[in-house]
Amino acid sequence: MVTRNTLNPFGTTMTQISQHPAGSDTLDRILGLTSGSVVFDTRHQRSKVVDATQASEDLLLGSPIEGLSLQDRLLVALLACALTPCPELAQEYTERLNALGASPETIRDLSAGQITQTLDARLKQILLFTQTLILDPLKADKQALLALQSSGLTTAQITALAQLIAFVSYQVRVCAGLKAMKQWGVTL
Amino acid sequence: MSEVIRIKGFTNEVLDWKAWLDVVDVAQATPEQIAILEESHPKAKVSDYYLFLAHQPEILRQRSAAFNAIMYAPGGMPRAERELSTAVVSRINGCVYCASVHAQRFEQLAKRTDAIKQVFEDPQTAGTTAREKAIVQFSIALTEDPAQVSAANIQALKEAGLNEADILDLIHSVAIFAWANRLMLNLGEPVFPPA
Repeated sequence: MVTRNTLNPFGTTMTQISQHPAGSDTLDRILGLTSGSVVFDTRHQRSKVVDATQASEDLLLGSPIEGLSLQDRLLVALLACALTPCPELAQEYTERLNALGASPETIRDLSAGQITQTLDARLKQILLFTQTLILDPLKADKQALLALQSSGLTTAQITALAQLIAFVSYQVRVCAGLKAMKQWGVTL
Repeated sequence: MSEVIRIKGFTNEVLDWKAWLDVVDVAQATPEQIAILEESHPKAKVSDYYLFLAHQPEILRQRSAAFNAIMYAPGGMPRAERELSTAVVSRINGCVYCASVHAQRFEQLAKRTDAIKQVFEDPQTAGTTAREKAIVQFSIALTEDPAQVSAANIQALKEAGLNEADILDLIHSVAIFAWANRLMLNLGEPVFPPA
């Protein structure tokens, strides 16, 4: 829990409390960032960013989204992390997929950046869209969205999918940046 | 805007943006959708981009919270430098719409366009000072190959005078445009003003 006390103009004490309890912030946990370290304390000076990052992950990779199963969304996240690559987040999403009982073959293929050919057509289309957005976002065009529609996705589901892939491309870069900051501190 | 810049397909002109699929009709929007549009951007209710993202209002709410906290929060790395880094990311990713918006913001904040012209011309050599060059180089590195970013990249920023808070803001600015560019590039297209 991050607590910051600041004096407001009226002289009373305001407490700003992070929305997430200790240990529930994915990036802090997988990078081993702990209170009192320079990187953790610097990061938590921007508590609104920390909270919105975790809340986005919770919505996109935790909460129910009509028509997009949690397992399929985690497969999208795993492929995005594998292609970037971001080993720390790939490991995190692999563990969650294992806990859900996802196919070991599919996890193995996606971890290697490959789309399993035996998957159903709708999921393959979703993963192809993921591959394009991560590797070459300029190549995804109107046809790519129409192909998702043809696979049965509604506009609301396409919105959620695009937000998910774009969010993971953000999260992997925050992860890489914080990891480099931590390495820099260690090599001082 | 003091002068129109058009270099290699990028511009500082005010562009419009059109969604490829159906957007939320404001007249039919739920109170929650209206509230989230209003807190996302002053013009969100007439923007195809926000009206498309409003199909998933809670996700839009958290995206906007992250975006606005990264780009507009006081302190840390100066806002003009955040805009410079996002223009670089947009140039590298090929997002003409985002590049135009953030070229305009850079000029509003920095009162000059030189660094933006350099970014449009050749991002690899852009930057009018050692500090700007370091910001540009880091923005390219974290955009193109995040797995290769290491302590050496942080050291280069330190040598150019950035402190921890500046560096965190730079990481966030680059990362949020990996997000923003992908939405803008993949859900619709820029509309240019009539010639």
